[in-house]
Amino acid sequence: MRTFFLYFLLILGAYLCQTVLYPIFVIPELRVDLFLVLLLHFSFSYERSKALVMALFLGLLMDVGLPLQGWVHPLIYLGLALLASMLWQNLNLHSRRYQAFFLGLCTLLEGVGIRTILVLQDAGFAETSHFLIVLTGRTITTALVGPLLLAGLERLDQWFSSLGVFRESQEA
Amino acid sequence: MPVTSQTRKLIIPILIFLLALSLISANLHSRENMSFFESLVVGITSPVQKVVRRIIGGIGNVWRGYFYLVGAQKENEVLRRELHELKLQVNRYREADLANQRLRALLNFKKSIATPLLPAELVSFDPSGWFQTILIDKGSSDGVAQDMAVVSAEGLMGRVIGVSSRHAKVLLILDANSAVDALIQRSRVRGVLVGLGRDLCLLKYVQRNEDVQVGDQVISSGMGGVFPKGLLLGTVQEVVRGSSGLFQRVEVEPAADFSRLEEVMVVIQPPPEEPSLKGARKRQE
Repeated sequence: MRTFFLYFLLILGAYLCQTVLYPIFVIPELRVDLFLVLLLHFSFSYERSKALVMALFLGLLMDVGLPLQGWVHPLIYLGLALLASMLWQNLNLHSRRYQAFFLGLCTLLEGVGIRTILVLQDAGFAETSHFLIVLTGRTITTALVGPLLLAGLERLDQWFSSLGVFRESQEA
Repeated sequence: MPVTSQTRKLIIPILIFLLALSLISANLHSRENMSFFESLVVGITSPVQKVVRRIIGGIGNVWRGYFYLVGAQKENEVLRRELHELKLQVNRYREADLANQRLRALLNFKKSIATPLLPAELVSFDPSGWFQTILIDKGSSDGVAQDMAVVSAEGLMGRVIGVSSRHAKVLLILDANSAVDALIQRSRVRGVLVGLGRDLCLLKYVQRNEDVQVGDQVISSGMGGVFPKGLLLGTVQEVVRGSSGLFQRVEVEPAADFSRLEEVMVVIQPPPEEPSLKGARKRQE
């Protein structure tokens, strides 16, 4: 219950950042998808089933306010969570370098995924050149900042554990 | 007769008393100048006194200064707090003044168009960053419905694409999914204004030979029934006529400052849609 409450607060904070704080940044396009970071943290640290449930929840939350039909973000997040939880066992994703690479890759896949789904839905999207510039910027930003955020979340998890919060790790 | 110890105890204080009395009596005669004895005593004791006085004076100064500083610090804190409160108050007044100006502008704008408008406040932006949408704090319980136009004092902002009882989702004209039937105000050339996903729009389907110039103002045509006619959309920023192709590329800078969105107005009753215009609307969407 406490874990749920604390993660609820984290998700709320991430959501506030995404919807209120990011747009006031100087370059709002160069944002790190905090939901993605949370999702990958869950995929790395918790059971796959929990990560998938989280992916669904975060995806649904992300779709709020967007001009999208269907579960675009839930689908993408489910795919990424599945990929992350599978690769976690095979790749050395403990390493920050690998995490940077993986976060960048996920951002890239997320952007391309949204665009693909929109193309399939015959919906409008930003010009290709602009899209590519933003996507590149985001990928680099996420690769640089993402591992730090993941490290912060790991610390937070340790803190939760020290508080006596039950934590079920995949490593265990 | 032997002197007893009791007598000695009595004699010594009397002698000391008489000595003191004689010294005082001697001083009464020579006040202007110190006696030798007096000078000697003063000469010996004064340096020590000075040192002691300085020490005590120093301690006293520190003591008094400390308490003074404590008082000053408290006073400083009180004054700082008052200053902070006053600053906040001034800021509130300034904010209220700015809000007043904005609302006055909106009110004037409201008077300038015939359709009823509902003021609303911005709640949040698109969380993903890939789209240009906002959430506002008015929903179906306030009379907001799908496809209603959302405007600001500067001009058209977008249209409602989703409604809940208390909130509404608005697609801004900057989004690539947005399309508004538009006119060049000067030459009455028609086109469809679409968003580019950033702070720029494109006026599409303007033929190569049509008269469009940089600086021309673009307004809504009213076709399609969603947006009221005559709302300012933006200003032509660039016109590119390629060597081939049917249309020219007309880039339009939106009139509204989307980065400083705070209050918007929802056009509550969209104008009735004429059957002949349904086709145009379909083309828009």
